[in-house]
Parts: sequence; structure tokens; C-alpha cells
Amino acid sequence: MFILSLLRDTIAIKPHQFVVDQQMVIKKRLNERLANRVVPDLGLCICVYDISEIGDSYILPGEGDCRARVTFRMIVFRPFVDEVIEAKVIGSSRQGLTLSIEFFEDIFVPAEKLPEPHVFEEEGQVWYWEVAQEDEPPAKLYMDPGKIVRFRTTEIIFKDLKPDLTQEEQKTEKSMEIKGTMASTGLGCVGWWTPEEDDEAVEDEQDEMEVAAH
Amino acid sequence: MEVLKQRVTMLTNQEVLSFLNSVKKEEDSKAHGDRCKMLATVAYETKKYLNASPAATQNEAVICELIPKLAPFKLTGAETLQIVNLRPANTTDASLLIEETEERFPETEELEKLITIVSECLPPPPKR
Repeated sequence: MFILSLLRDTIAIKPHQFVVDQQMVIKKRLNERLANRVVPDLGLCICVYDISEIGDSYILPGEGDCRARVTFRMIVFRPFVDEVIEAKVIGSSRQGLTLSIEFFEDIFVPAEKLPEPHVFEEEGQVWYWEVAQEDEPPAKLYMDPGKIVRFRTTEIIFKDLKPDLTQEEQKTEKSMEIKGTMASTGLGCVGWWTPEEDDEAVEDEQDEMEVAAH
Repeated sequence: MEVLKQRVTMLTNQEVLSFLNSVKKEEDSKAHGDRCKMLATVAYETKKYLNASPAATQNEAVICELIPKLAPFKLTGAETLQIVNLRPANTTDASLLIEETEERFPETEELEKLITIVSECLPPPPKR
């Protein structure tokens, strides 16, 4: 999930900051610039890990800022392809499921990558996995918003966004998106595969069916 | 800004969580004006996620104890990382994280042995 990346950037330090600890000022400036931001083709920056090198500082003619080239290591969120991650379902539509891991919410599992055979319920706009059972009608295992699921990363897509986006474009355009799949044994809701929680899951289904009946 | 090396190393979730905890302490000791707002948001959200994951109950010592014990199974680095991060509790979970499980672990007992070692070394994850 998380990697350490070695980056280099030029940092300007304002004259009034000369008095404080240089390392601290540089860390703060770097965090301000990068924390919680997506760097194209790298990932989502979380936090500066440490500073490896502070190059020679120089002052440009006509200004008081002191500039230094800084080499530093950053904690970056960038899952590798095939990595399995636990996430929460936050959105459900005919196209598929949107998942969230709190600090990153652009994870999408397209409908064709849900466990087979999957059915979309128009009423409530939720997906369920239809599991065949002996002597019984097939069980409906729901993947509704709020459930914790496991998915396997299949692709990470980076897009360089222009700064002048309209509000509507900002909602649909994503600078970093993770595509995943849930069509494999062990993937999907976490409760499906643990034997002792199976009963609970079934009860859950019954509850839901009762609610639907009312 | 330039990227000198994309991936220096990978971090376990536990390492990230303990680092963020120390960052939080450092930030709290600073004056309000010196704090970084963007960092506070992402650190809070990342910690919220990690505190609900198996990483919350782990520490450096238990992971260091586990790694040499996993050596006989000849797992790749990425597989070991996944095992630490997700702490598989049954064979279905484990085969999800290990590539070509059936060829590499023809005997189910081997895989069960791996699960036993993982469950012994790593404390159970927090209850949801």
C-alpha cells in the first residue's frame, strides 16, 4: 500500500523563518506543498518521512528568500497491481461499486468484475451475489454501501488534470483512480469467507428480506 | 519537483501508523500557526483507516519475530508484506495473497502451518 519515494524539490525559506530550525521549516514547506496531493505517475503523498540532503542555499538578486534544493523521502500511497486491500463500499450504481479507504475514495470495481453471477437490484440500487445452494433457492449476498469488502488492484490510472475545471468536471474527473476486481475466491465482503461468521451473514440476509417484505 | 527514485522501499501498514502517530505528537507540540493543515487531514484519515486494520495491534517487535519464521515458505517480499498487512486467519485468505498457491503449497498442511505461525506471532486485529 505505502511506499517510500525519493524526491527532490527547491524550497524557498522566507527571511523571518531563518531563526527557526531549518529542518523543521523545510519539512513544513514540503508537507504544505505535497501532503494529501496526487503526484502524477507516483501516487498520493501522505507525509514527509525524512530529509536526506539539503543542498547549498542561494539568494536571488532583489529578494530576501533563501532557496535550497532539498532531497527527501516521502510516504506515498501507491498500491501495486495484484495487491489485496480492504475497503468500505460507499457508492453503488449500475456501472459498479465505489469503495473508500478513508483517505482515498477513488476506487472503482466495475460491474463485470463483481463475483459471478451478480444481479443488480433496481429497488435500492444495490448489487448482490447469487450463490446457488442445494435444495434451497439461491442465497442473495448483498454488497450494499457500508459493507467492508476486499478487492484486488488491477490498474492504477493517472490523469493530468487542468487547473481550470468546472465544478461538474471536478466531480467526475480524477487525477488518480484505482480499478479493482472482486471476482475471485476470498474477495468480496469479509464475512463471506470466514466460517464462523457465515451464520451471521445469513441472519443478516434474512433481516434484510424481512425488511423488504414489510 | 523531480522524482529521483519512485520506490526506495515498501512500508508495512504498521510502520506508517507508528510514523503518523509520532508526527501527530510533534504537530501537537507546535504553536497553531506552525501546524500544517493539509497534513493534519490526511494523517487523521490515514490513521482512522489503519486503526481499524490489523496494523493497529502490531508493533515492530512482533513483525521482526514473524519474518524469519516465514523464511522456510519461500514467499516473495510482496507476499510477506501482504501477510503482515492483512494477517490471514484461514487458508482461503492466505491463498488469496500467495500467487500460484496450489503449485507452491501442494499440501494443505503446509498452508495451515503458515496460518498457525501468523496467528501466533501477530496479535488478533481490532474488532469492528
